[in-house]
Amino acid sequence: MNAAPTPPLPPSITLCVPARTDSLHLIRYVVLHGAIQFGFPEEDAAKIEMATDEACSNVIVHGYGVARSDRNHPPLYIYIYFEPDRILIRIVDKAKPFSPLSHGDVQIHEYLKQGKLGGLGIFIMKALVDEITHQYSEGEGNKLELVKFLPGRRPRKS
Amino acid sequence: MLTMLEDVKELGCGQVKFLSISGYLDASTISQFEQRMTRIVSENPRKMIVSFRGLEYINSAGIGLFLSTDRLLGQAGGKMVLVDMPAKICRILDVLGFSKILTITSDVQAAAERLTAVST
Repeated sequence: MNAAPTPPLPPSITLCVPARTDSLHLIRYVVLHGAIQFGFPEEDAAKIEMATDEACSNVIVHGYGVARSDRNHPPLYIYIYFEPDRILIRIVDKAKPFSPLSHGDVQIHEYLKQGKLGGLGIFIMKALVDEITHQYSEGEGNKLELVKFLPGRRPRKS
Repeated sequence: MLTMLEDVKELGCGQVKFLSISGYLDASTISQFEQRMTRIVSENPRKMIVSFRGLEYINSAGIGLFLSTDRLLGQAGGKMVLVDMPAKICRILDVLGFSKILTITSDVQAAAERLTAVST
């Protein structure tokens, strides 16, 4: 029996979830499967999934500082755009201003010597996607964008 | 959701602390896992095997916890080996360079061989 055909992807997907850590599973599911259906190999889709999870975890845990079962959970918006040569993930929150780009790069050997438990999230995010941008404004809050180009579509640096 | 099963196994290399994790290791489950690992490390196991069979996802904090546990056990003369790693997680650890730091083998038997040299 033939499998049912996969319906076409819309040009974008918008998620609005409570900013709680137990929303992360749903976010990862949509991002991973959206990226695969869009045409990314599973390896690249897993990178996009992880970078998004790290970005959203930062907002939930550090930006809003809310626990998994916190009842006062503000919204977290995740916009996924399927553009001709790339996927763009935009994460919008109203937490305090926070730019992952303002943090220096982690030197892994130094990190290991220090025996830290956390602090790898931003290093991992930067390693797994092609572009990261961040903007903050009083009215709109934080807007973090993660971009990953489809294989062979990444523009060459001039 | 994260499920952890703990055991002590008698393998060819001697007595081994065995931990099997499944589900996902993310910001919603990391504190549960950290508490478990802290207790295990405090028991100072010389030989430890962690099975990733059934683990769907691991985040940066989970990776950091394994790097830290690996370091702590190593400093105490012990060793930890990770086994049964799903290809998706293995590829991510490869890309990030952590598979060169952590000891990863295909299965428990290969892990036991790596642990033979560790004194009990």
